Amino acid sequence: MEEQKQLCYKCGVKPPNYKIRSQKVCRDCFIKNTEHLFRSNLKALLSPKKGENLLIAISGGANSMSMLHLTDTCKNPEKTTKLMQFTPVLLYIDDSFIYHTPQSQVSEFLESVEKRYNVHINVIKIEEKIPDIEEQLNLPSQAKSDMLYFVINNLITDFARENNYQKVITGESASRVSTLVMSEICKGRGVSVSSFSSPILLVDGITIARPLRELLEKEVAIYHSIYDVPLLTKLPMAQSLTLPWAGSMDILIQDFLGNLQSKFPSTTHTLLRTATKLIPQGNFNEICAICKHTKDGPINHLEKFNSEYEDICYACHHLRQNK
Amino acid sequence: MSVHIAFSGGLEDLFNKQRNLTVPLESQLTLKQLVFHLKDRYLQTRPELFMSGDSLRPGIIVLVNDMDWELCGKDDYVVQDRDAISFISTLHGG
Ligand SMILES: [Zn+2]
Ligand SMILES: [Zn+2]
Repeated sequence: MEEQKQLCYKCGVKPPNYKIRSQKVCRDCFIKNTEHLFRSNLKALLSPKKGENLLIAISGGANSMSMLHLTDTCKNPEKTTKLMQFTPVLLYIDDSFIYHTPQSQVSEFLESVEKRYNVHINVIKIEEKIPDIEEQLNLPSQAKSDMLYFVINNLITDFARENNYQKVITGESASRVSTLVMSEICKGRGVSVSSFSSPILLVDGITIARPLRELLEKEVAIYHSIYDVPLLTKLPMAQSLTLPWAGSMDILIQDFLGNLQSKFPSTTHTLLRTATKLIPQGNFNEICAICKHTKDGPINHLEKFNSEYEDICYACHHLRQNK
Repeated sequence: MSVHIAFSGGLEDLFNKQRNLTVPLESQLTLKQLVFHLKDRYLQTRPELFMSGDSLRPGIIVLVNDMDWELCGKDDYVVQDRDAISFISTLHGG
């Protein structure tokens, strides 16, 4: 128990509770650090004004639900003297139809969130907006979860546009963003790496910010467990029956980066820092119809992927081919 | 002796949707042994999301009485009577 004798790196008074980025921190300082980092990120990215609507997209997962809790602290006088006076608008894209989540579990979750944070949640049922969703997602598990990710993002931007909400926040943590960057390179969306890693995106005139982008998933996990934030989690779609690990590319990459991160604590932040600097050469003015990222063209005459579907990128072409 | 176990972040789905468990123990176990015990006696599905090889899956955060297990010896910590041990998954859905 040698380690316990040391004190929190921040206050120097209390014994530490957690080890974050190889620093030992007490519970109170951890909470203060996390909330401060979130608030200053939100301010720097969007500076939401008094009375301005801020669309908060929640999925029920640990990241977006912690984001909701953190957004709530921006309006809590016990947490900050610089109260932010934006109007939170919540949006939940209900994908229970895809995950076969019992409807009672979904409504129970939504009710508990509405009650706890004193908000109304706008709900969009995926199968009502996209009646042929089952057909669209009739893909192998990795392609299916990729396609679902894009479908959900597009529904969020559609909702923002239809209701004239200019500012949106989504809950990707540093670990999630770095996983996205690596996996999108492997899937062939390398040309869009800078936008996958960016803390802020402009899509169809709507600004989408990721105020959790500096937080590691360990920090998010500890934070939601401290406050017992309501979650509606889903098991990963990809299953492996014979391999010791679950089989999706994203999970393998998440594990790989998690391992690196535990041995080299600056891995995630360095990766994100590098990724934002990777800007493609050449003219890419078109947007892919599926992923809404940059549409690239063939890199040589052997790649003829654009002959079949003209409006989609190389990676989304592969999604389609998986059928 | 017995310990109080809490699952969150989706791990409860592997343990019959139970977020809390009181686990009686006949002998003193290390955390590593406790993980095996939970897997053998309580886990219902998808063991690959709880364990990897012969240890806890990387990405699962463990808190012992609200203390990061990385600060109290990880696998080698000897579980004490009435410890409150939280397992928090960081695995994303999708
Ligand atoms: Zn402290
Ligand atoms: Zn695309």
